[in-house]
Parts: sequence; structure tokens; C-alpha cells
Amino acid sequence: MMKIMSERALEGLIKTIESEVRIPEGIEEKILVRVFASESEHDPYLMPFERFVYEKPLRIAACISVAISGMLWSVMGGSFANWLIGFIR
Amino acid sequence: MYLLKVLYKSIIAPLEVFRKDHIEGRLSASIAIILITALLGSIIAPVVRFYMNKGQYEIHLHLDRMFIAFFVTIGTWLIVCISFWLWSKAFNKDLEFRQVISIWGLSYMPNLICVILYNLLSIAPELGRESNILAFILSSLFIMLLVWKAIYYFVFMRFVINTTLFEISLITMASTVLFVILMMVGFNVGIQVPML
Repeated sequence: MMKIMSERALEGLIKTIESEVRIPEGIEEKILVRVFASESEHDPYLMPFERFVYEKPLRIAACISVAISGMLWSVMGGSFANWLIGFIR
Repeated sequence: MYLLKVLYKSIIAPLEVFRKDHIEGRLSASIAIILITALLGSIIAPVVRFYMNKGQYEIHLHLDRMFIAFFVTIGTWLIVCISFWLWSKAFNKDLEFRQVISIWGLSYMPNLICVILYNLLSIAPELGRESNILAFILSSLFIMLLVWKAIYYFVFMRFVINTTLFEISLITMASTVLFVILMMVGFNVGIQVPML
């Protein structure tokens, strides 16, 4: 047999439907990070530093090599390049 | 066409080819780089050196040593691939051997350029002596190739084997020992540029 809803219960139900859903702070970001991480097979989620290193490795490799060469040059002078080439050969 | 596209991407945007899913032409590109590097380093370079210095010094071509170096180069690549594949199995990563060989071979691009540079210096040693600027550029290039190869290694660990920090530390420590052994074997058969 069908039950008739009281006026107060009906009012409560309508209020529940209309009430705004609030997501706890930080949850939205966490879900997004997890989704990005799980999709890493196709479009890996990368931190800004990782993006800088892994996306264009030649760029970072060139930066590091020039920095190391410059440092060695300042310590050993012009002979460092000959020393390094001699070592490699 | 696919082969060239994969080669281009492995240099410009390695993340697009250093991934587990199937990519058309990747295995062929990988094998092509390995064969070209091995041929250049162990057969073509000694022949060129021989003909360049024939009149100046008494030198001989050791065909047997050249072919041993060629097969050792291929062998070291396979051993490194097998070790990475075994590590992936040990850490329960879903990775096939075919994926390992098709991806790790792409990391031989710095080796290939290093072989060319090294042999260029062997043929024309004055390049590194006459000009300080040129010597600086050449040294920077060698360091750049080393860093580039290291980045390929980390990309492979991070995006192909999908290791954690602990796993990558363990694999790197164990691989260092293996790499040193393979390098020593390589030097003994006349491979001057490490082929790992």
C-alpha cells in the first residue's frame, strides 16, 4: 500500500535536493593528480622539473655540459679540453 | 618512413617513443641504430683509419678482431636488455622483452654520435690540439652525450619499467657493476666507446 509523505518530510527532501554539495578542501586536487598519474601510460603526469628534463633531454644535456666545461675551464684553464680529449682517446 | 619518424622523436621528444604501448617501426629503428653503431665503431672506423694512415705507419687490419668487436657490441646491448627485463620481472612490472629491446636501442643515439666524434678525433687528432675553442666545443659535446645517455636511462626506468625511487636506486647500483664489467670486456676486444 502506498504511503503518503508528510508535508514536513517533503520539505526536508526538497531542501536536501537543493542543498549545495561541497567537496572537502584538497580532495579535488588529489583526485586530479591520481587521474593524471593513472593515465601515465599515454600522457604521463610530470612535475615541472621532470618536464624540463625529460621532454627535451638535449636541451638540459647541453646546459649541463656547457656548465661543467665552463667550470673545468675556469679551474684548469685552456688545457682542460686537451686533457679531456686525451683522456677519451 | 615510420623508422625515421621514431628516430626523430627519440631525439626531439623521447617521451613519445619511450612508452610501453606498441609504436610502429620502433623495433626496426632500434635495431637499425644498434647495427649502424656497431658497424661504424667496429668495422667501418678501423677500415677508414687503416686507409688514412696506411702510408704513414705500419698498421694492419685485424678482420677477426673487428668482427669480434661487432658481435660483442650487439651482445652487450642484448645483455643490458636482458638485465633490464629481469629487473622488471623481479619487481612485477608488466614488460615484455620485445618492448625492452625496441626501446633501449633508441638510447644508442648518443653512442652513435660519440663513435663518430671519437673516430673523427682518431683520424684528425689536430682537431683537439690546434684550437682551444674547438677543443672546448668537442669536450662539451662529449659531456653532453654522456648526460644525454644518462637522461635516456632515467626516462627508461621512470616511464618504461615504471620504477619507484627504491627500485631505481637498486637497479642503478647493480647495473653499475654490470656496466663496468661489460665496458672492460669491450675494451679488451677493441671497443673504445662503451656500448651499453
